[in-house]
Order: sequence, then structure tokens, then C-alpha cells
Amino acid sequence: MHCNAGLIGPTFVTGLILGSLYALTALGYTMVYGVLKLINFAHDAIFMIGGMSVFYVFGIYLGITTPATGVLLAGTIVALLLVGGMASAGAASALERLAYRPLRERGAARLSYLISAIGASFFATYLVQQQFLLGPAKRIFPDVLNVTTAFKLFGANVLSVDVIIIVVAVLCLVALDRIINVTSTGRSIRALSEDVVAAQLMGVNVNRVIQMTFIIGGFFGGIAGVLTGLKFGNVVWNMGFVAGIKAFTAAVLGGIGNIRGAMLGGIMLGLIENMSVVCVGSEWKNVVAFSVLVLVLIFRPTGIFGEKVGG
Amino acid sequence: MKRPRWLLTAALLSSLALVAAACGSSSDNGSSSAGGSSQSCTWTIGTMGALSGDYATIGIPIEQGIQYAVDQQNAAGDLPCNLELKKEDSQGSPDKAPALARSLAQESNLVAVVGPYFSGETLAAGPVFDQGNVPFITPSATDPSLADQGWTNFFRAVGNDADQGPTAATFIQQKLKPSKVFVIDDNSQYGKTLAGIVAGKLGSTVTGTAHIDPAETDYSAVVSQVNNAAPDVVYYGGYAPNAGPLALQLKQGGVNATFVSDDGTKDATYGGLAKEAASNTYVTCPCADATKLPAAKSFVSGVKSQYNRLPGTFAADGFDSVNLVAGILKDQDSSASIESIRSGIVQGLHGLKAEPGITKSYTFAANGEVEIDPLKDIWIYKWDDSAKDFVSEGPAGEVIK
Repeated sequence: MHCNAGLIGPTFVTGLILGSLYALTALGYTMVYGVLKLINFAHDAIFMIGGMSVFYVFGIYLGITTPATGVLLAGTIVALLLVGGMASAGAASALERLAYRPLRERGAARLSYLISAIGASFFATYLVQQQFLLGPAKRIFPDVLNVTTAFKLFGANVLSVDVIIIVVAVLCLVALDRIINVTSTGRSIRALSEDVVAAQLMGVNVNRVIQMTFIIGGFFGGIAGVLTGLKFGNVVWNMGFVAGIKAFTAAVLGGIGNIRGAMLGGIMLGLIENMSVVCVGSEWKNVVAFSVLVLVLIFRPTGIFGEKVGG
Repeated sequence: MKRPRWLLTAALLSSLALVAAACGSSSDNGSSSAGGSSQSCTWTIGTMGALSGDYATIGIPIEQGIQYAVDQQNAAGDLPCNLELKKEDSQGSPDKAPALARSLAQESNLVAVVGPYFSGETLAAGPVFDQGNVPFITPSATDPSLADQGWTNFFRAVGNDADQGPTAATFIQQKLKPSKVFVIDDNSQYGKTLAGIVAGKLGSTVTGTAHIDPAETDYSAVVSQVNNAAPDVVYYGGYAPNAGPLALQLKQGGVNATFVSDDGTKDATYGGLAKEAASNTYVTCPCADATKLPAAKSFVSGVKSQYNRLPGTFAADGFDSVNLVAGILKDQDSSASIESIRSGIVQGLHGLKAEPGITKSYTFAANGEVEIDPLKDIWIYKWDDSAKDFVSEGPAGEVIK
């Protein structure tokens, strides 16, 4: 193992950007876990639906092919994120209604939710793979943004899209933190995550709060999907597979159920991955990243920040 | 538990019906009947490759060349039996290949297989075909090790990467004249082998190597490595769906190198994925540009009228492969057993001496490799933004000269 000193700076910067994307996606896993104590394995499909909806609305329906500038660009980006976020929020809401609530009403075993979610994920993902939707090949994301180098930091080119990713990720974290800690919905979510029966006795509408949890987590997952499409210039039916596993890992690393933990876990994972590529070798990336995960879990079994919604 | 049980039963039944319908329709798509009358016999030619999935844009043009050849043979009617093409969709995956190969090998009228298209899947499916004594000719899998497996029923209608790799290296050295080259691959059987051959031939000009994981989208760590090495040329062994995003991320990351890749990258989808990075891309391919071959004139116009596009990469080689088999089938007896016809094809292919096809003339070595002249049969292509596709620069020998 030898880390080239010249590579540490740029790798740190790109790892940070990559980690922000993981973190945004991880929010959905962590929120649902915080409330239901269940891993929502369909979140990868929710993530993909965010990117796909923008491809359809802005690429096919509006047919945007030339990048905008100035105020129009800012408006377009916000519209892009809202469309993707809302599409994913809608999908997450439908997922909860179809794949979770019926099981809950029948008092299903924990494992059944898991299978139901995996089933929903495969259903949505392979449906999108069909020719009448995205189809099997990578599709070109609408060119709303002229991707240029914004500035150089520690030898890495920070692109305009990277700046957007960092800004949006920070805004989302702050917004979510406020939602959970200040609003009444947030209070209900926290109540539910601590004790379902007590929350119910205090008049919390369990079904409504669970639905809201899925919607909020889905919204941020959708935004992550849109940012992924924007950064890499394409969307594809299986874009959620790897991103979902990485985000889930990030959530566990930070402390699943913990929102600040998800953010930290995401960024840590991005950094560890990129550092392991330049210090150990590109084929060792996942070996190193997951060894670190295991090590963290040995010493802190509940993740770095522990399990607790609101942190 | 309030809802009646019949609801659950109905739901289960309807989902079963859906599955059955899906299976039914896929097998309908899977074969195209030759439509012969009841007394005429049918011989089946099998083919398998990526007809859907990530690599479908690479697989489908090959399948079109094969289908077109079968259609032409049936229209000419020179064969004792009608030909039927049975297609299996592997999505290019080595995991799916063995089961699909078994299902092909068990076809009662199967005389030969033209495929599989990719190296990984050929390596996985080869033992099944070979043990079933099914002659199989790949028109596009280029990994050299395929010919070293001891398969007696294996043939390859194109040059392999032991020819393509050194030719690519010679092109890089003599035409691009770089002082530093960075070599990347996608860890696939094909990409890794080819990149290894190129790196070996380039020797000390290679200042760094790296692998990417094709399942992932972010290659930023590799971009940092390339940036640090500051090469003039980046060579990539792999396929277009990853080559495009990689080239784009390299360019955006500040790498100003010429991107050189292989026949797996030679696909029109590359440009949309690579965007502004596409224009500075060369690929090598053991496939001739059919539009520039006098012998392929009617093939090009025929494919164009049948599929409304020019023949894609390896389409002409697929066409040739079917015709080589058909040339041998011409002399077979329609009442002969399938086993004897299969061994007749193997013997017949080995007996060919400079048999003319539209892309080259065919003589097979004992291990199933076609004899080629790398400088003539390996072509160089460059991405052209206005054509939105790779456009041939000519055979390697002419480009390097």
C-alpha cells in the first residue's frame, strides 16, 4: 500500500462529492428504518424513478436539448429536482400503500416486509427495463446544464454540477433536520420511532405518519437520482442497484435510523472508496470499503452515531 | 384476516397467467419460422448473444446480419432444407449462457450455432456446444483463449485480440506517437485480456493501469490517477456503455488525452454517452467496414432495406458465418441424421481453402481460428460527430503507413 501524495487531494475532493450523493440516497433507508425498524429494499427503485421521471418530463416531453444560463438555469435545476423528488415521493407513497400497509394490517412477520420490498424493487426496475419505458440501454439525460469546470480544488476539477450536488445535499440535510426536529409531522415521526404503542395512545395517526416518512425519504431519494443523472449524463433502468447498496451501507455505517449519521456515513464511504482506489488499487475498492464497514460495526455495532431518528 | 380467501387465489392465478403469457410471447419472439410447407424439412441454425440488456445495441446488429443471411438463403432456395433461425437472448451474460446453450443443443433440428457474440459468454457456453458436438462459429468474440480450450467444434470468423491488441498498440505508437499511455479495462474476460495485450506490447510507454467496475457510474478515483499520470493516450479495453461515460468523466476531470478503444466500444451509442469527449476517440476492430468493400455492396443495400439502417459492427461477419455453414449444407442429404450433418459441417469448415466471403476469405486452422492478415483485416475507426457514429479510417495497414 502506497498512497501517491499527489493523488490524496483530488481524491479527497471527488470522494466528498460522491459521498454526498450516497448520503442523499441513504436518507430514505435511514428514515424508514427509524420508524418501522425495517430496511426498505425498494428504495433503489425509488431512486431510479427520480432520474427516469426527469428524463421523460424534460428530455422527451419538453425536449430540452440546449443548456440554459443564469436565472433560467437556476429555475430549471429547481424544477428538475422538484419533478424528480415528487415523482419518487409519489412512487414511495404507492410502495408503502401496496407493499407495506397490507402486510402491517395483517401483522406479517418481519421477513415478509423484506421480501415484499425486494419484490416491489424488482418489479419496478425490470418494468422500466422494458422497451416501452427506458429500455435496456443507457439513455441520455437532458442537457439542461452546461457542465464546466467551476474551480480547481487540491488539483481536482470541481465541476458546476458538483457544486450543485454539494449545495443541494447540504440544503436537503438542513431541511430534513428541521422537518424532523421542529414540525409536528417530525415530532410524530420521532414519537413513532421511539414507541409505536405509546405514540398511538397519544393520538398519532400511525398510518399517516408512516406514509409521510416514505414520502419524505422518497423525495430525497428522487433528488439523488436526478443529481446522478445530471452528473453522469445518463439514466439507466438499473442505476439504483449499486447506488442502493452503497447508500444502504452508508446508512449502516453512520448508524441506521440516524439522519446525521446517514449523511456522515455517505461521505465517509465515498472517501474510503476513492482513497482505496488510489492507495491500494482499483480492483480492491469494495474489499477495502466493506472491510472498513465491518471494522466499524465490530467496535460500534450501531454505527458511528447510533440508532436514533433526529440524532 | 378479514378479506375472503378467493381474492388471494384470484390474485395468484392471475399472476400465474401473466407469467405464462410472458413465457409464451418470448418463445414466439425467440424463433422465426422459415414457413416451409409440410413436406419440406427444416434445419435450425442457433444464435445467442445480447439481444436485450445493457449490451443489446452491440448484439442486435450481429443478429441482423445473421437473420439477413438466413432469409437470403431461404429466398435463394438452394439448400435441401429450409433454414430456421433460433435465437437465444443471453444479454451478454456468462451466467445465463450455459443454460441457453443447453436449450439450443437440445433442439432436434439444430445443425450449427452462429455465436455466441461475446467472449465471456462463449467461454461459458463453449463446453456445452462442444460436448454436444454442435459446430459453433462466433462472428465477434475476440478473446484469444477461446481457441485454447481444446474444443473440436469451435470456429471463429474474425481475428482475435492476439491480433487486435498488437495492431492497436502499433497504431498508437506509430500514428499517435505518445510519450505516455494509461491503460484501463472493465475487468471483463474480453476487456482485461485485450488491455493486457496492448499494455504488454506498448511496454515502458505505459505509465499506469487501472480497472473500472462496469456496474458503477462514478470513475472519479481512476480519473484522478489518470490526471496524475498525464498521459497523451488513454487505452480502454471494454464496451461502449462504460467507455462513453469514462471518456466523458476523463475529459471533465481535465484529462486531454486521445481515447483509444476496441470493437466493444465501436457502437453508435458511444457518442451520446461520451458527449464532448467523443470526437477524439479511435477504435480498432477486426471487422471490415462493409460499406467500403466492393464484395459487400448488395449485403449493405439489402440490410438497409430490411432494417432501415446500415449494417452494424460484425453484421457482415455474422452474414459470412451463416453462408459458410450454408455452403456446406448444400451438399448434405436432407434425410441424413442431425449428428452426421453436424460432423459434416465441422469437417467441411476445416476443409475450406480461402473460401470467399464478403469481408475476407476463410481458411480455418486446426484450433478453429480463421487465418487473417492483421494489417488488412483489422480496421481503424474514428468517432465522427456529424455522422453520429464511428467512421472507418481504413484497414490498419493503410492508416499506419
